[in-house]
Amino acid sequence: MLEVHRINKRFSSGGIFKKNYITAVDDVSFSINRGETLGLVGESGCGKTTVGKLVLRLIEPTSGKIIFDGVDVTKLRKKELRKLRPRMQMIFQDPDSSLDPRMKIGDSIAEPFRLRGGLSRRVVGERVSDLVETVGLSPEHVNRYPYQMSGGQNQRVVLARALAANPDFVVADEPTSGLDVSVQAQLLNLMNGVKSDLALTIMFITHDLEVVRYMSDRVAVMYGGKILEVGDTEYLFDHAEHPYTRELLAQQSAEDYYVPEDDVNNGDGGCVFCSRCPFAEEVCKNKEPVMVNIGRDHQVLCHRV
Amino acid sequence: MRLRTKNRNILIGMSIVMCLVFIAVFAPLVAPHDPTEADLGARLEPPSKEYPFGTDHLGRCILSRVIYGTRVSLLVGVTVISASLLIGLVLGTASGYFGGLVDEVIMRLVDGFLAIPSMFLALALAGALGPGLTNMMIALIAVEWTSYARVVRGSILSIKDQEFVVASRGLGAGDVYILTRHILPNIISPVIVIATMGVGYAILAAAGLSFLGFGVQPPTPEWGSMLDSGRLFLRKAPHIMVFPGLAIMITVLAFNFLGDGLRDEMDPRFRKEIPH
Repeated sequence: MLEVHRINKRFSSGGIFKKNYITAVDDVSFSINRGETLGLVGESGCGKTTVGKLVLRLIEPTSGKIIFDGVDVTKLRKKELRKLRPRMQMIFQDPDSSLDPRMKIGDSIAEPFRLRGGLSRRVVGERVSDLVETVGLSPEHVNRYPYQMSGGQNQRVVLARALAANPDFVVADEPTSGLDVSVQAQLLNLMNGVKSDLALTIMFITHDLEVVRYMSDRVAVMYGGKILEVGDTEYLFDHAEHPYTRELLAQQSAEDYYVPEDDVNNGDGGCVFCSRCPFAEEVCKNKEPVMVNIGRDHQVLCHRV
Repeated sequence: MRLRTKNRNILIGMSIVMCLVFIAVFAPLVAPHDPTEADLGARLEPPSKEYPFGTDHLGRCILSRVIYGTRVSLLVGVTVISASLLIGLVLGTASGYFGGLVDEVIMRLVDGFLAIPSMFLALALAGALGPGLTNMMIALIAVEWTSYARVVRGSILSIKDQEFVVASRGLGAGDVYILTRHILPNIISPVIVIATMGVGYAILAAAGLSFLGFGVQPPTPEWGSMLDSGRLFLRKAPHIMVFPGLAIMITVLAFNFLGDGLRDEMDPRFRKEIPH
């Protein structure tokens, strides 16, 4: 379904005279099979949201290839890309800013239909009320504005809007992190239900290991713009090989685990994690590790395995 | 927009502006005399029954001239601000939304205009173009458009990377759709507020230019030039200056009230809509 091949993203800052570059995503490769959910875990600032946006080409990659359903998304022209867009949707972290504050809920959900065109007002209305029901909202919400709704309700609206586009692939960027625990659970159940009903392929970005375990078939662990370990969810939770993954699992959540930028080794050569790794050896500081396959669809980026 | 409002500023401002519009439209019916007709037998007369605001040095009815002056002032205020708004919206949008080189060029242009004090620039332009209503309006538009371009650009910058805009693009929306459906509705209220206040400012500036002789030429009745002609008789016949002065003051105040009120009215909703 989706194949990401060595994508990079560098952000530049500064003026005309002096430019600084920050590498947000560094040589990341992974693939997602049809109907699968891939969890992308990592602490704040590790580049996971950037990966999500890159995959949908909401931002342009500096280099690399993204193959979606046989098409190289990075090579598409603007017009072709716009045609493809409805098939890949993103759900953002903050439901309140994901909806136009001056648009009624119903109009927001109807937006994909309007953009596609060719549907009568009545048909659009029917489709919208179907979707409203699918995501567990009531019909009277259609005429409200986002500020009159709770965060959980708004996130349902965002989900309904994404579904209205009739996508094959959805990137969910921490869709529940701003919500109460009980609301979180409801929304995750809803997403799982929708996923199996519509045979969606999902990339689920989060820092919450519990959520990732519940939602995903496979997990990719990110740190400092790199994927350090990929594997089958259940297997990985029991057989983590990378020191960072183990540390995360011991912490239970990547959230209270934030490290300042300087701690990430982004210099030339060496492992990104070496400055924090308890097992770092001389080779870790000098030589960049390569992804090693250690069986059962389990890959690790570490010198020690 | 909802008409029922409890905001006192809007009510006061709106009623005065409505009155002014009414007076301007029906000036021939409202005015007791022909504003340019000179009654040389009744020069510099103080207010009386015949001439409620008195007469000027040529014996013209001040009230009628103030009434007809409303036309010029409103015309100048509305035209100057509409044109500035239009230019500001187009250039500000190009600058803020598309960014890059376009942004750089437009903003340097704006900086260039802002580097010169606005009244000085207007004076210089009006002087260079020669006196007259149209030239005065051009001069005022030249100094006014920059602030609209800046406000529009700033508002767009603050909104264009918000997630609902990104989401819309992710749904396959094009630039025109995003601009008209999402961005414009979200930035328009602050722009309307400053435009409303801008009308008052433009009227004041136009009166200033006319006072200095760069604007509307006599005998066309205009508040600024009326002030100028009354200047020589300030001791003998203060009413010549007082009434046009009051007219300017009330008009500018009305637009300021309206702008203030609109800002208050739009603010709380805005705050509610974008919490945190």
